[in-house]
Amino acid sequence: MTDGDVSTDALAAYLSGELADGVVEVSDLQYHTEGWSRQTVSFTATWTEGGDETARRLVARVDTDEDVDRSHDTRNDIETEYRTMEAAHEAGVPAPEPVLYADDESVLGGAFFLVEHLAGDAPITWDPRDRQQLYEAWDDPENALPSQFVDATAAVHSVPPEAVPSLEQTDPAEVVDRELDTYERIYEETKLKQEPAVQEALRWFRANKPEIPETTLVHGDYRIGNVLVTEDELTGVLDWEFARVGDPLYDLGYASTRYFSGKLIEPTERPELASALVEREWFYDEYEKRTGRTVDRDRVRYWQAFSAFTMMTRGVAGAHRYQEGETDGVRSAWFQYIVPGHIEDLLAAVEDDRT
Amino acid sequence: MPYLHPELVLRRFSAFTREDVRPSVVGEGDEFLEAQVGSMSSTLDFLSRELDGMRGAVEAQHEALLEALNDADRALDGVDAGAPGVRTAVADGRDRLANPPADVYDHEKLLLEVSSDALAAVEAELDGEAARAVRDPLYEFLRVRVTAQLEMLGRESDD
Repeated sequence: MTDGDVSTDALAAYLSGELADGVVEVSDLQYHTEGWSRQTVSFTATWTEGGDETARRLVARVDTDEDVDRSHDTRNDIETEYRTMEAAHEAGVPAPEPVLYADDESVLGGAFFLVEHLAGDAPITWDPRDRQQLYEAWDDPENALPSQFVDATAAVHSVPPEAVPSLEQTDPAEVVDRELDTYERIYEETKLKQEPAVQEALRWFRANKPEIPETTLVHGDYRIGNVLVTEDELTGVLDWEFARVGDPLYDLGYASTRYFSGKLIEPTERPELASALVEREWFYDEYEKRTGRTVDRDRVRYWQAFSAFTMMTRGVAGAHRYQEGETDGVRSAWFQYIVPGHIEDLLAAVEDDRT
Repeated sequence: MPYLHPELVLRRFSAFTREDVRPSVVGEGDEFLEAQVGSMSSTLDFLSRELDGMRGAVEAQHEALLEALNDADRALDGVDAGAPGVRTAVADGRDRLANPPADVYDHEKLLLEVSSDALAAVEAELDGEAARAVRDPLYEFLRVRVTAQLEMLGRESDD
């Protein structure tokens, strides 16, 4: 049986013998929007073991674009994403429990991995209703979610680079140039307009490179939208495809961008809240308490501004792909509309130094 | 030309996609399709706003850039810096703005080229306070540009 692009029969046949010795049945398949190109589905796998029936809800993430040109794409390949999640989970990060990685493309049309399904939803901060729930979590002293968000951040950065050998091991002294060179190249190769504000931001990034004292595992796309939450509990950190070895404060800056607080065209109601959930200074103070690190505010602001540039570049690259006919995806065309808001934030970040 | 303004048609298509199409696919088990339809509705709405406001936005930017170049020229005099490249970029920019292209996309491209050239010249020839003083009016143009873009796309607040 084929449900959408995923054949439950093929999946069941593959899992029979892999997940359990006997026959595994697959049911209740559901497609998810997490990840715009890698297909994500959840399903229930059922099998009998020792006379007892076992049912397990799992998530499959399938690499459906292995043949796509990735020269403008900074995501890791799907096996690296899986190995990163394995290392994070082993280190105690609340990442979903890894189940298996399969490079057999005949099963789901591409390499894929399975992880356990976790309860909760990923808040969409551009949806006013989700944003309001996050505001209420921050305003409620009994709500554990803000504190758990800091815990999860600290847990990610407790993983040393050598624990994730699948990621490129980068010396702290080379981290900033690696990031700048990568995203500046993508921007220059895909830009559809010469934006003077972006050129000014690039000059500022080059002139104000911070010193990085250490590297750790960095999630790379760390924000409340990549975290599963129930009403008052954080259940897991998802979407590890941008993970790398880097400056742990990168994730703090990234999670602090106005965009990930819900700004698209209009500013948000609570711009002081990072990820619409935690007041920024509280977030940094609590992170310091949990990790023993000093959060250099200038460095966080540098990464916050740089994250606006990276997201803007992803928007530009999406529009470029659409213009070049590499995709008909509606979201690639839509993605151009995140660009002005990011340029506004870039200007705000650099203008005090430049004027 | 046909009768209906394209911005009107796009606005109606956006509303139809949002109010009729999307509810018919929500809950059918394909979140990806739901998201695509939602993005399509949003894109149609933005396109309608672009068509409606792009000419006014570019004209506002044109005026702001002319003023910025004049102010940058005065700032140059004030900082007592030679900066021949900056003076040339400012003068050339004013000349080019005197006869803007009729096509709105070419007009916008001209504004970006002129402002980029001026800022690049500042970067190449000036430092410290002198650079900041000359950049200051040019940044005012950058702020006008991004605000015009955001207002064109629907921003209503003053922030």
